[in-house]
Amino acid sequence: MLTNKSDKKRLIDAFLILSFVLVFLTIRSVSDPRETIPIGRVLTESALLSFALSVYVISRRYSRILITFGFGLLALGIFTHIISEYFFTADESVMISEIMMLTSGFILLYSFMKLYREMRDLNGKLETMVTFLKILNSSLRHDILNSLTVILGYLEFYRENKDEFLLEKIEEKLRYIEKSLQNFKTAESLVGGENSQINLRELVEDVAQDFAGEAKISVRVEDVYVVGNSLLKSAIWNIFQNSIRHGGKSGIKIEVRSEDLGSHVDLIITDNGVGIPKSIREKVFEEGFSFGSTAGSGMGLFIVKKTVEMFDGKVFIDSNEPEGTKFIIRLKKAVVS
Amino acid sequence: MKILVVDDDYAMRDLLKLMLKDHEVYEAENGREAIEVFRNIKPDIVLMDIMMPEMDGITATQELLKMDSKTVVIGVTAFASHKGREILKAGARDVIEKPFTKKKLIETLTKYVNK
Repeated sequence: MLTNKSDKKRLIDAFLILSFVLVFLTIRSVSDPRETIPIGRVLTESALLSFALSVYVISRRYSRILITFGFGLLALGIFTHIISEYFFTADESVMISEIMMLTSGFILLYSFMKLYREMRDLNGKLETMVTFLKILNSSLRHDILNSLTVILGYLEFYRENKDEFLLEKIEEKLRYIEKSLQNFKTAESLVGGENSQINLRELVEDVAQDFAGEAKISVRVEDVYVVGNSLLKSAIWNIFQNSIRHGGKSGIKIEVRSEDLGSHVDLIITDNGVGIPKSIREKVFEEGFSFGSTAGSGMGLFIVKKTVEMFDGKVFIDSNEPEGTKFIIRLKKAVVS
Repeated sequence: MKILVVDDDYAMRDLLKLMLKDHEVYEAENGREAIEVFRNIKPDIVLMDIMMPEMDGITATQELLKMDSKTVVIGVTAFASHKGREILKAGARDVIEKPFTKKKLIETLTKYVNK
């Protein structure tokens, strides 16, 4: 029944509050053994505590308002404690102020718990981002230093024999550095980018146009809006590039279609290249993984995965019969406003 | 002298072949392939890149030394400070930091040839 995480969290919170109520009632009944606490008073206290619980559960999304409300109630409780003796009997006055202060105590406690949880989540996200940037930084430095070694080395030989072929090698590496820097730029904006809605068909057609000269691309994608931002384009761009670069032949065919899954939509990109062996299908999305004679920095598909996950999506590889690779990007549909 | 060059970047392997054209150079794309080639040709020196797919240079160095503890492995890395230290710990004799010159490469190799 409790399928999502926040429902489970709420249930745990409710249990916690109820146990506090029980602990409170127990303390109340043992703290003054000579006096029997009237059942009416216990019920009133429980009812007010339950009220606090409801206030908490209903308004847990608004922790700032809740904190203000909690402090207000606390102040009111103290105020009541001071003035209520003029209007009520001493017992009643103590009871009213106690209940108010206790209620506010619960509200405040849970608001702070909620804030703490939010901060912890945020901290986790920040740590992921820092790790991500560290990995990226290290991979890029590796790529660039590698390329520089090759460039400087060939330059040394070029000075000796002026062989034009060496210049081609140098240019190839310079282009590679250029591409690595573009990847870095993409990844940089990946950190802290905002999600919005994006038309999937337009996005795919846009990417297809970029590769029009390099592959035969057919697009049959629905006019559907998905959660994402401009980074999604570079993710799809990377998959196209992967197909062309690792396809193992020229004039590769790429087919893109979409499949509606209700709350999500699958973007299915298939090619007729050499395919990806089953044993490494999951590994290709790992950081730094590269494979075969056309291997690159191994950052492309890692960035694709991270990007798609940022938009609550998934990316995986399925077998494509009889040949080639089938990438599936599962994206969340956007609620169009 | 037989030299085995292990690097996942073909351009780097081509460059090393060019720099070492007076020697008998063999190539491997990753650690796993290096073990295979090593078994067949028994090189005098192995030039080992560290960050490679399938099997990295550190694991490969350990494996090669298990096969022949006298093997001369020289690490080649862009991150001499930490990765370099790791490969030395794994048993490599020396580390060459990228980017390097032909002169530096030959100098380092010469240190280990006559021993």
